[in-house]
Amino acid sequence: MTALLAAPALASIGLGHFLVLSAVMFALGLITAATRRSAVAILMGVELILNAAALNFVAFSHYSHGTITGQVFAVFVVVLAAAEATVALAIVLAVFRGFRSVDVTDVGTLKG
Amino acid sequence: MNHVSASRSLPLAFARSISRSGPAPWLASLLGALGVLVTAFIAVPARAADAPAPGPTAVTVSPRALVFDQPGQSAELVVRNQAAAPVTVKAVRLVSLGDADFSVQTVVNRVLPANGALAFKVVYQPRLAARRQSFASVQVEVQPPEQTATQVVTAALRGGEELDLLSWLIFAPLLGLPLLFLWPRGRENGLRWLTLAITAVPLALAAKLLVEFDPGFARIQGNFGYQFVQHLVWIRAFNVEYHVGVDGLSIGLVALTALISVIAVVASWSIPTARNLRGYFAMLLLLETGMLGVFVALDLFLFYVFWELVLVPMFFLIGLWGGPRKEYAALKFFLYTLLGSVLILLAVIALYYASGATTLVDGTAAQHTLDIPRLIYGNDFSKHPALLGFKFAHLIWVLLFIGFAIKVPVVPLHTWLPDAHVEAPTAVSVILASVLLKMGTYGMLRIGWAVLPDATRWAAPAVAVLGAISVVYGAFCALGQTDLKRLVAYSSISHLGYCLLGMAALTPIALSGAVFQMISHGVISAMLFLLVGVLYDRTHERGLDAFGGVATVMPRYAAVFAFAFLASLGLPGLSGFIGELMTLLGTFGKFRASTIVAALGLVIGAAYNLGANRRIQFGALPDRWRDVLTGRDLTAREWVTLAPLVLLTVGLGLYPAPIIDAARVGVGELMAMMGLPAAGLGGGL
Amino acid sequence: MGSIPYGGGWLTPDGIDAPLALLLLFPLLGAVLAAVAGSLFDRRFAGRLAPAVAVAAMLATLVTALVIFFGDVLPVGARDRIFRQALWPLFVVGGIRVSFGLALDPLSAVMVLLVTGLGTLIHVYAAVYMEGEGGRPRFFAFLNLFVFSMLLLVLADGFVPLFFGWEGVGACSYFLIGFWYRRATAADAATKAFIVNRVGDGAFLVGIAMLLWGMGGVQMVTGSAPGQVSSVLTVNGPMIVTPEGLQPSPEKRRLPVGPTLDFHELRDQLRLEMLPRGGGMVDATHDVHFRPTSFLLVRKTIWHLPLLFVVCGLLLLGAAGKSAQIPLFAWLPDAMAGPTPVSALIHAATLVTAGVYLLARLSFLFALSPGALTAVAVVGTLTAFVGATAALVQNDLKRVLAYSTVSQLGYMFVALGASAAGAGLFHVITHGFFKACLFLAAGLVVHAVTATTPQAAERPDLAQDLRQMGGLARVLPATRWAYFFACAALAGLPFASGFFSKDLILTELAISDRLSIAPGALLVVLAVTSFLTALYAFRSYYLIFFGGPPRHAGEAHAGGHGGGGRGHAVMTAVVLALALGAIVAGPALGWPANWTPGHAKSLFQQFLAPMFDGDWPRRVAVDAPPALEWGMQAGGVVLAVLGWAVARALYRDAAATAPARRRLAERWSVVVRLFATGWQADRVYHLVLIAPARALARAATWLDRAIVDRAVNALAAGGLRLGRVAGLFDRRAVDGVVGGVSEGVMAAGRRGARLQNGRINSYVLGIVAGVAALVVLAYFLGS
Repeated sequence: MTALLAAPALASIGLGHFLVLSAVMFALGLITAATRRSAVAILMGVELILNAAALNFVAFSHYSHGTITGQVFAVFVVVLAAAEATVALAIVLAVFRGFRSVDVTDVGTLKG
Repeated sequence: MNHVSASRSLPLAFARSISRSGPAPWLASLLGALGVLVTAFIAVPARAADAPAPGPTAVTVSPRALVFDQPGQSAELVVRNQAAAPVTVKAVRLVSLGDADFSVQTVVNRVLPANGALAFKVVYQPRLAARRQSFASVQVEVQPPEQTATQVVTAALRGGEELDLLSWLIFAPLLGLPLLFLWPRGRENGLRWLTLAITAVPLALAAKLLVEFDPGFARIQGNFGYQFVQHLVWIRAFNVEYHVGVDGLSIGLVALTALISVIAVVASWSIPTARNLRGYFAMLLLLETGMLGVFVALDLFLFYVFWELVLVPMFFLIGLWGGPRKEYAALKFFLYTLLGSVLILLAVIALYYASGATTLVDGTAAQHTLDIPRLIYGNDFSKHPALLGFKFAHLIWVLLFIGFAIKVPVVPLHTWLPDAHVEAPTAVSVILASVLLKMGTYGMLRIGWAVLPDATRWAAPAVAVLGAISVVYGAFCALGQTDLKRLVAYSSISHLGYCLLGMAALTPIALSGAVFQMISHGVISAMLFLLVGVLYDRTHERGLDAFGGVATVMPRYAAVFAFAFLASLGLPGLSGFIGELMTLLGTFGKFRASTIVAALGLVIGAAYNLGANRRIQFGALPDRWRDVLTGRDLTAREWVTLAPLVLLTVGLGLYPAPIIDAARVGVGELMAMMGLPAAGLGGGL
Repeated sequence: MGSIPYGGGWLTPDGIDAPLALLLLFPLLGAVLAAVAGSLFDRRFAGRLAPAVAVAAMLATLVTALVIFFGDVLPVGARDRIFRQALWPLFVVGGIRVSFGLALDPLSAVMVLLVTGLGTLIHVYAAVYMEGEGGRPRFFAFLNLFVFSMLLLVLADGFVPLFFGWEGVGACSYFLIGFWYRRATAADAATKAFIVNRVGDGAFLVGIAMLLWGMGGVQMVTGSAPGQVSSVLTVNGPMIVTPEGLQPSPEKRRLPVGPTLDFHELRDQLRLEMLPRGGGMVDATHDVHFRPTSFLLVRKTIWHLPLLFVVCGLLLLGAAGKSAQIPLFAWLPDAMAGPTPVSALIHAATLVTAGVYLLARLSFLFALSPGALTAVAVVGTLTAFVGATAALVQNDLKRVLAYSTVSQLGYMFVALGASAAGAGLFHVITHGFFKACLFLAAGLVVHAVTATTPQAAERPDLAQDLRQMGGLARVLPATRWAYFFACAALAGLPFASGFFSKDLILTELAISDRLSIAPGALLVVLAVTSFLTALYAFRSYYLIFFGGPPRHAGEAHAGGHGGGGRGHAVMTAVVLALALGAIVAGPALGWPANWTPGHAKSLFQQFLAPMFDGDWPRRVAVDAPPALEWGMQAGGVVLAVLGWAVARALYRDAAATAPARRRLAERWSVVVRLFATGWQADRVYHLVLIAPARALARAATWLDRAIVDRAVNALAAGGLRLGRVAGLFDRRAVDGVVGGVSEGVMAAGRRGARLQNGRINSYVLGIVAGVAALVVLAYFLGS
């Protein structure tokens, strides 16, 4: 009866669950980046994608090797994400100053 | 009259752009041309001379060329062996074209140690006083130690006077050319006198040539019968030599060219200074160099270079200083003659590769040769295998004939001449008529007849028919003209028809007649064009029907006009008659029908010449010319251009012996080559 | 005795050196001085310098000629009267030597005397006649130059120097006929004269070439190279066949065989004949096997015709061109457009006799071909008849005399056809005198008419119209009688020179045995012609001096030309002198044989005998039976008197007989018009020569412009079209490909650029798409 209690699937959160989660996060981030008109929202989307990747790192590092390289890498990702965010926000600020708007569709001067 | 609207054509547009922007581009383009020529002529031979003789061994002969000026003089040739191993000198041979004037100390099988040297004496002992230069070479046959094959190292020998008269004659105008551009910009008129001075130099040299020319100098006396010979290796790779010389056939034409060039410059006084006089005279000088070169070149390559050189200035002279339809005329002239030149080039190349092995002047062996005398006497092209299904000699002969016939011009290929004459300025017309046309007939004689004698005998009837047609067709065209200059142009075609007929008959009297006719027509047609120029300068009108009674206002002009047109119809006592008489007498034996047709040309000749005199001089003077012409008879300058020609016409008419005696050797050689009797009228019964 | 007599008359001796060049030097000098001095100083000497210089030069030439004739020619024996002066060699090539040399032998001596004698008289006349005319230096320069050319023609020793003179006279006559070049008629006449002469000269040249070629054949057979000598003599010296039998010839002579242009060399070759002795042509002792040139030449043919016949035919055409015979005679009547002295000197006495001289000079050649002799005789007879008929109906005085000259020249040609060159030349002399006299008298008449009829001054042709004349007997009494005697000579009235020379010709024709047709036919035509000659001669005489409006003597004289009385007197004196000559020349030179006791030949015939006796085949010297001679002379006189009577009846009282003559003219209008236009000669010329020449000229120029030029332009245009097609090809094909590629790249670029649409989220989608593609690729390639 105890096996029953430990709903196998539910009971142990395996690698698969984490992958699904990161995939969902990745997809959401992607959708945000692809559809939102505001630059800041796009940045948020990017952040989501980054975190999904970090999540994967952690998950794999835990479940497959038992080593902590994944975690270290995840920390890297977090740090990079921070740096990237500041740069991105600075660009968005400059764009805003230049174009008076952050709406991505207005900022089309680099059109081919 | 639809014509090729060539005004948009590239070459002339380019030329006009040059001319409009002042002399600077002229200076550049011409100095460029000059530079090319100088390098071609001087730099290359120098480099070639000291090029190491072919052959792997490091055996050298020094000095490469020995020049002896005193008879009995001797000099030493040193053979040095720079290779490590000893070398055996198999033999030392003297190689010369005629009988040798040199003697070499014979050496047989001498072993030459490494870095060893062997000296031997060469003595210059001319056998014949008449032969003023002699060319030979020494061949040293060397055998490296282990091989059986032998290498040949050579040195050139040249004895006698250093006669570079011909080279100075050819290049005097070219060297004078840059002076034109150094002339200060302001005083344009001075250019005329400068050019006159420059052309006076070749005239003086030609006079010296005439004085020193020995008519009796035959082939057996050496140098293939040519005099004032200069013989250097020019482009070793193609076995091309700078070989110039003059003989009975070309001496008259060289003198004529020098004289006519001076007269043309004097006749160019009426060219306005505004129309880029500097470029005009530069072109005239370049033209003179080309013409003189053609008549003295004895190497096919050299001949072809000068043949092409003549085209360029002539194109610009007609194209830029010509009359209303000058572009059409210039382009037509250029394309016509270029087509001819292409055919000649093909023939020259074919001859080169068909010629047998011989030695260059400095002794080095050559598989093929472009040297005219060696092509004539060293090869028999009639035995050459067929080419493209035709007999080799016949095909090459036809190519050459068409190429030269365009220049002569022979009737079907002649339509460029009237247009070129009508549009060319007077002075250019004079040169075109009196010298350029003779390049065609001279080319035929020198190359067509001499190098391919059997093909000539095969084609003689056809040439005779063409000659007769030219005479009659040219005469009838002249009869039907309304423009005086066009009439004179067609008369040239008719006169040269006689020349062609004489050349086709291959009897001594006819050939001499043809050579004489060339020179006599040169003088007469120059006079005719000058006279047309005199009238055109004053009235800018050449129509025969526009005039009449000019004799009433310009008596002296009328006198010379009548004299010239009587000379043109062949009045005995004037040079025209002698040429035609000898041609008719000589040709009757071989081609009776052609002679009779040509005799018809005499009658039509009388018709158009007297017709011209009648329509211009006799009758009543139209009023519009009364004030234009009264009191403007021949000026002193015009007399200077006409007087020498009048005297020459009468002189040659009464005493033709000098030209005919000079041509006798050349004609005798041609007859010998053809295997025909040197006397008689051909075809007795 | 192995001697081989060689016959064929005498070889030409080497000749004595004599200053013949002087004869040429004086007229040439005169011409140059007249031209130069005349034009430079003309104004100062009122135009008299040129005539004076010209006359002086002529006098000097005449004196030289007389000195040479009486000093050198007569004293020398009959057979070696050859005087030579080689001036300089023209050209020596191919075994043919042509040198510019002069030679005087009896034939040329006669011609030199004629030319210089008449020339001087006519120069004097012209000096006066041309006063008041502009351009006199030019006129007298050319007159002297003409005499120079004529003397060169008769003194030439070969075909080439002869041709120099031959065309020289043609050119001088061109300038003299065209002296008044402002007049279209004179200019056209001059051009026509020269071109017609040129036609003759063209034939002449071809004839010489053919002869030379024929001789070349001889040289082929004998194998001796030309110029190489062949000895014709035997071991014991040369023998000559002479009337007294075989005589040793003076010395051994070497004779060049083969083509030659020298008359005497040609004659010696043709005259030689090896008399075979018993079959064998030559015996061994002879060093060169030699067959007489004439034997070979006679057998040669060209275009299936005997060579000599064709050669002589061409030479005849050449002579006909110069001596105005059929078919080339139409130029002479038009040549009257020149001044009268020109007509007198050139178109009566000298130039027109050049043809006769040529045939006389080449009589040895013509003797070889009976066909040629017949042709000459027939041409002569026809021309005589045509000339006489045309002269009968001319209204212009000078044209009457011109056609009369044509007719008389016909007689001379008949004499030559009958191998009687002596008679022909004698007629040349007598004709020279009376025709020059007639022309100069005509000059005086024209002046008189111009003076007395008002409107004649500005219309020169009117002054020469016979219908305007009449009643001038009182005005010009002396000229009248001179004209009468000259007409008598022309008609052949007894004791006038024409009688002697013309009847001699008819006699010689009668006894001639070498013609292919019966001489009788010719004699009939010539008889009619003699009658017509007398008729037209006296017609002009009566029309000028009788009938017509009364003219008073004074007026004519006062209006006399230029120098008034004195000039008129000089001219009349010259005319009288010529008339006297016309009367005296006949009996003095040509006293007929049958009037002499010993039937001796006349002085003139004896002088010329050596020239023609040696011609081969040697004719047995047949003498005309006296009966024939008397008959001929009687017939001649009858015809002449008859003609005179008819003329006198018709024209003495011109006004009265005018209606009768007019009716006669209407009835025979066709014939009259035929005669008047010289048997439509001009129309025939136009049809045969001028129209085809013009048509051919137009055709040639059209051919040139249309065909050849169009072909060339087509070629060029073709080239251009080819260029354009190549350009098209370039643009379509090559550019197309290149363009296509670039277009494609450009299009791709543009499409690619659309990717960069500035919207970031599409970039993100791009990235995602890329990643996805990579994953799929990795998946497939990985396995």
